Amino acid sequence: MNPCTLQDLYKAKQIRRGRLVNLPIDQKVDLIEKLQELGRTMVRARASLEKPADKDAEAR
Amino acid sequence: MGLEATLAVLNEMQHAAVIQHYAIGGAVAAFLYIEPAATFDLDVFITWHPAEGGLLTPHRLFKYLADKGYGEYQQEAIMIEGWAVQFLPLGTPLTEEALKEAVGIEVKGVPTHVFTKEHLMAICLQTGRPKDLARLVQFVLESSPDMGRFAKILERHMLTQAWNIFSARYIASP
Repeated sequence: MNPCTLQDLYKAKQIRRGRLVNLPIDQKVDLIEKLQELGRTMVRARASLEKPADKDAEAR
Repeated sequence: MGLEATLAVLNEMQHAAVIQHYAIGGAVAAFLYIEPAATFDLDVFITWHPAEGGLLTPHRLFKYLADKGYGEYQQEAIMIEGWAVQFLPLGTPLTEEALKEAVGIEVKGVPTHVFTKEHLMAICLQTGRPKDLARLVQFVLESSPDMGRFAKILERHMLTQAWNIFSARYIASP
C-alpha cells in the first residue's frame, strides 16, 4: 500500500469540494434538504439529552 | 414539500401583489454558488406594496399566509412547505441594490430570483460575523466571482477599506 501524504489528503478534499461546488442547483437543493434532516435529528437528540433530570428516578 | 414548493408560494404571493419583489439571500443563496452545507432558514428579501394610507406594514403578508394555512412560526421565521422562511425588508442601500440586480434561476422547474454572488460577498463583508467572513473566503476561492464587479459594489457602498483589510488578512498570498 502506498503511504498517503497530507498533500494527498488535501488534494482529495479539494476535489470533493470542487465537485460539491459545481453540482447543478437542483442537486444542491436536495443536498441542503438532506443536511436539514440530519440537523433536525441531531437537534432532537440534543434536546432529549438536555431534558431536566427525573426527580423521582433520582430519589429511587 | 421541498424548496420548490416554498418558492411556488412566494411566486403566488408576488402574483397576488402581497409582495412586490423578492429575492433569496443568506445561506441558501450562498450555497448555490459555493459548497453547500446545512442551513434551516430561507432568507427572503422583499419589498411590499404600501397599505391604504401609505403605511408599509407586513400585516397583509402574514394574513395572506395565515389564510393559506401557514401559521406555524419558528423564532422569527414562518414555516412554508417545510422551510423556515424569514421575510426581510431591505435595510440598507446594499440589499436594495442586491434585490434590484438579483438574477433569475429555476429550482426544480420553479422560477425564482437570487442575489448575485458579488452582492452576497459584499453583504458578508458588511455583516461581518465570523460565519459571514468564513463564507466570504469560500466565495473567493470557490465561486470565481467577477472581482471587477465586486470592486464597484464595494466602492458604491463604502466597503473598499473593509475589503482591503479583510483580503490582506485572509485572501492575499504571502
